[in-house]
Amino acid sequence: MNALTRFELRKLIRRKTALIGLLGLLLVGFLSILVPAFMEESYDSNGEVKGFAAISLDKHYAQAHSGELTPALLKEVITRYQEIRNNPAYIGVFDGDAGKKSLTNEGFYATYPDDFVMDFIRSGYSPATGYDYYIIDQLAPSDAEHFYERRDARVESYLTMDYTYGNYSEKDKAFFKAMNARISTPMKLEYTNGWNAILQGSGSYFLVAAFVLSVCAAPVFSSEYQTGADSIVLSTRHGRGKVIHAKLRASLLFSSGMFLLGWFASLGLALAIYGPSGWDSPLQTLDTRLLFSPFPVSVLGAFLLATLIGLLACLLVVSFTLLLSSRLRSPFPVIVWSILLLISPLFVSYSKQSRLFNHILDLMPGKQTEVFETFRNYEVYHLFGWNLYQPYAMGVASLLVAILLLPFAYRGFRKHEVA
Amino acid sequence: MELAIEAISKRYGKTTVVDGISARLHPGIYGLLGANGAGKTTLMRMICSVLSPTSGRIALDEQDITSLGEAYRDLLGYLPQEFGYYPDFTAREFMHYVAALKGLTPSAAKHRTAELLEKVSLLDVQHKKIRTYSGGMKQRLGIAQALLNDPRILVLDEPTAGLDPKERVRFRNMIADLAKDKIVILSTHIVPDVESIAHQILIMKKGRILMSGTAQELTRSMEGLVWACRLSERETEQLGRGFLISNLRHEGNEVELRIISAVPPVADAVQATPTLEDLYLYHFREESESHSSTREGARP
Repeated sequence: MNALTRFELRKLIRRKTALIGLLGLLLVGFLSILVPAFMEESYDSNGEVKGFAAISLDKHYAQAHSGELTPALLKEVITRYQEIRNNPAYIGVFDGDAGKKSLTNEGFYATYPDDFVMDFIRSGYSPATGYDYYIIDQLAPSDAEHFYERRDARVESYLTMDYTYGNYSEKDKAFFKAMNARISTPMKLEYTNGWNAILQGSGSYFLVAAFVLSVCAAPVFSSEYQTGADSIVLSTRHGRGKVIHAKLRASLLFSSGMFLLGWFASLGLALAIYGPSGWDSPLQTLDTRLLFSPFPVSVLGAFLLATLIGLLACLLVVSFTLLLSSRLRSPFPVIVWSILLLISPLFVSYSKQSRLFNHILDLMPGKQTEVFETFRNYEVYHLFGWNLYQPYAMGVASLLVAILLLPFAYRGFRKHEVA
Repeated sequence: MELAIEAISKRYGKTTVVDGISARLHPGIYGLLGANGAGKTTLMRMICSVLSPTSGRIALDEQDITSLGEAYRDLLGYLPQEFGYYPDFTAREFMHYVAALKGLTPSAAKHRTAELLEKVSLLDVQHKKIRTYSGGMKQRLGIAQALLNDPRILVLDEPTAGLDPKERVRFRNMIADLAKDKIVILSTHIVPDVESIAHQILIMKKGRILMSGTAQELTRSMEGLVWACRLSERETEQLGRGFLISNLRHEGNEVELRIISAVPPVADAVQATPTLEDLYLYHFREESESHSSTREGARP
């Protein structure tokens, strides 16, 4: 790193916004882990358990099933459930929602150690039209044999359904089927709640990070104009060349460092609370909402990819901020315009007519912060004959636009005149 | 080395700030004298290539400074009128930063920083943050940073603003020492700051160079226009309504007056030797009435 970059980094780090921003990031990251952790619920034979004790108990139940999500395991769980369900001692009062008599509390507590696996059964066997919690009541142990066929059928139904914003082409269907074919079965099963906790909180962390980094980057050029330091900088040998590179390099380094520092601190907290297990499990077992995801990636792979795309989304916002900073004379309007760019897409509704509109909307910085949500989507972008799965398309778009904006920021300062 | 300013103008919409100025500058000290708004700062910004002229060009040894770019800026040292500093930097860090901007090697930066901070009496406070500095200390730091690359062209916009009388004298001596093979352009509205050290004085008014020359040449144009007399306080009050009084001093019941006028203001008035300050007052009568800046400058 050259001397100018070091000085520019020092300027960024020493601003009060850097410290406040880092504390803000850590606060958001930690709260997104701690609040759900304190609210965790589990059950043993004595009733409800909460907080860290619930985490420990859930981990114990999950570890009892760790291995693979095989039909044999599913059959075993369905059989155990049916035995409890049919035991008169556990039959409770009539439940209107279920349309039958529900389990007593004791019955529910008795089934709970298998709940980790039963959640996959409920998701896997529910109809495509909606989730049915009580579907397990209707299953016979022999149904367990068809768990992965049921999953394939559900994927097929997604792909052949009629959508108001346009149906999947044969090419798209083949693309997603090929992705699904790369998911090996039976799926590895492990306790993954630590990774789930961090990834579920990724959207809010990335959004706050983009906001904080934008605020920190806003003065990079504009404060030189505001304070009058531009006269000195621009009249020096490297004032219209190397120092601009140094400012851009320092901004990107600072932004990446701050983003990763807060993010990996949050990951550290999540793994300290929940444990690191499950990193090599498939993404589909991270959460039952992801069971039908076409993305053939491990939990760790998903985490790293979400991290990379989140970082690129933040760098896109930073690049835009730097561009504005090189053109506007004070940091405040830079912050206002950057924040508008960041959050305004969040208030735009998805179209019911145009998939293209939705695809473009998802490439906006604010939407990109929700990249983890797209890991279960069946959306593909067609670019110059390439098929890009949505998360990759988001990452590539961020990278390209960020790279495209930086020369304009460079030019903005280079051409600046002290008037 | 010749710095040629060729018919440069700067316009903002319908307002002309610098109006077709031409000058050829060679090593030596050039004092740019003019009231606020005369266009001194704009001219200096154009010389320092931080502002483009609307028309005309500036050339160093026949080469346009725009095309020289980095090579031209490498020869420059510039102290802007309101120079921005980084409040969280110490003086030493700030100097090292500017040294890096000027392309000095780390060892040269270290050496020059110590040397210049010593010269401007900031060496003992070099590790203190700039935000803790007084106005005069910041100004001295600004002067030091301008000298870091031992510039061949040194442009100082109001360099003595904020300095106390002792510091101003020291600064003038320092510039006089430095100017042997350099083009030094310094602007001010404080007459004594240029009177003693400038080889050439350029007087600017409303974007144009009104006149230029040595202090002696310029004051010669005022010969026969400066008068001295002693009057009572009542007579002084009456005289003040019709004449431009450049100085007055109370002595008992009488007032000793210095008056600028084409005709003798009173019968017993005697001609006095004109100074640059008289010239300034004569040409910037309106400005001095509204700003009273030269009065402040008349008491260094």
